[in-house]
Amino acid sequence: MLDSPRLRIAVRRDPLIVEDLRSTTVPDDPVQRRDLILLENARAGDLGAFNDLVVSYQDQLFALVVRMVPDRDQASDCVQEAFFSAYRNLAGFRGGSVKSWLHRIAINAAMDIQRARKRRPVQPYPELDDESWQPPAGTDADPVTTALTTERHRAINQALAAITDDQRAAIVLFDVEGFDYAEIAEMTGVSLGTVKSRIHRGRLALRDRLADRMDLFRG
Amino acid sequence: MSQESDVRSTSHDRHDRMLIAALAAGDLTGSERERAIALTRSCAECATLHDDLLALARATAAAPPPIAIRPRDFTLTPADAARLRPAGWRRLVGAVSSWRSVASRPLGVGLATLGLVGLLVGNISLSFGSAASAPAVTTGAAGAAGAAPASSTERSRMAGDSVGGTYKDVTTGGPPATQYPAPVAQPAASGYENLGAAIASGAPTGIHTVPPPQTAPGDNAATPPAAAGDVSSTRDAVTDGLFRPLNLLFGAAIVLGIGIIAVSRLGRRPPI
Repeated sequence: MLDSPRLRIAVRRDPLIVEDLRSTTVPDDPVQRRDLILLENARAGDLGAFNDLVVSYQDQLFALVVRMVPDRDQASDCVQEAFFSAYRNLAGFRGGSVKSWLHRIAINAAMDIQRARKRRPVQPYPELDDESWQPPAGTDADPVTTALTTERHRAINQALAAITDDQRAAIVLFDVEGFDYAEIAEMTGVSLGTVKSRIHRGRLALRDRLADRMDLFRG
Repeated sequence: MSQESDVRSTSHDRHDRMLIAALAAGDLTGSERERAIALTRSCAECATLHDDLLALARATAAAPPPIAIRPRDFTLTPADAARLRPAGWRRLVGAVSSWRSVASRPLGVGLATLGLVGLLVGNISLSFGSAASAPAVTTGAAGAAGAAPASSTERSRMAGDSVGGTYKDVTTGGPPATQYPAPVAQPAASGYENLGAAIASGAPTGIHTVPPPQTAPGDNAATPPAAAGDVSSTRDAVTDGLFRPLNLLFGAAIVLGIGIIAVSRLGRRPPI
């Protein structure tokens, strides 16, 4: 009876689903699949796997955090603390995108730093006055164009540093990091409408702060 | 009226900048989108604002971070890992709050509710019980106070006091207390209440011959020491009731439930 072909077919048609849902969330994305494998290995105690994740995302996270906390040391501490927290909370990862998870942790860390900085105000963003670093220019770049680009970047970064933390986080996540509204809402813990509102108001605030330098951006 | 609307449509200060920002972000549909597009077409400043917002979005996306060079490597050392590895209560929190233990929150809520309901039901029934015993205690105490006077005259006066003028009738040998009916609910009711009621109903009183309330053996409510003991014993019963094992169990369930809820919430909080 148990060996009957009908039963076997029935069993084959309705297999018991025991696969971990987390590993099937984004199976087609190779980066995501790699991240999930690394994360599972890190959960199992493989520090090397976790450090592979760190190597994969540390530049992205630093670029994100430094836009929100434009102080080299604070941003650096923030990213380090974000990775510490991610390691501490490996068991708390509940599926989805590892990248989003790490970004969320980094954003929370950056928000905490910003709140702490508001409680103990220091010189705001001294790094923005540091002109030692210039963006890399192409070999055939026109010096005028390069200077204009540099000025434009400095202006937009200064304006970004001047708007509110929430607006800056939303704009950076949307315009720079390329997350969509839903992802930003999930990361920052606010509603979709609030995310949209923050982005719209933030852009208007940027424009108000750059009103006398908008020629840099037009044309 | 038409002049007013014309003025309004050409005054940029009164235009909805958020609407233009939403249009630039591509978030508008339907009539709002048409309204925003109409604004950009009819108002040059709105059109400039729209273009500026698009340009700023592009510039923001293209802008490099203010500090492009990562100052250090953020990989974890084995010492960091050993320090950060959850241990002790953190491990417990992780175990309780991990995504696997989806039952932790309902379990906590259930335990807390059970404990709360158990405590409430237990103590309500207890307070009903003590409320039922409380008048007996009061009567006993008052009866004990009434039993204290030694002389029969005094006792008679007390009887008169307690029955509202019946005493005079009794001592003068007049008719029983039809003129001075005894109050039905007299405060400080003593053991002579029944006597007053008997007088009020016209029954032969024989009050001088009525002995003071006898203390029946085992009648705790009639004698002062026994009455005081009853109060304290009732109080003790209440106190004991609060700490009886069942209440302790319910209390423990509440604490445990709240603890589980707190731990699961703590674990679900986004890291940092």
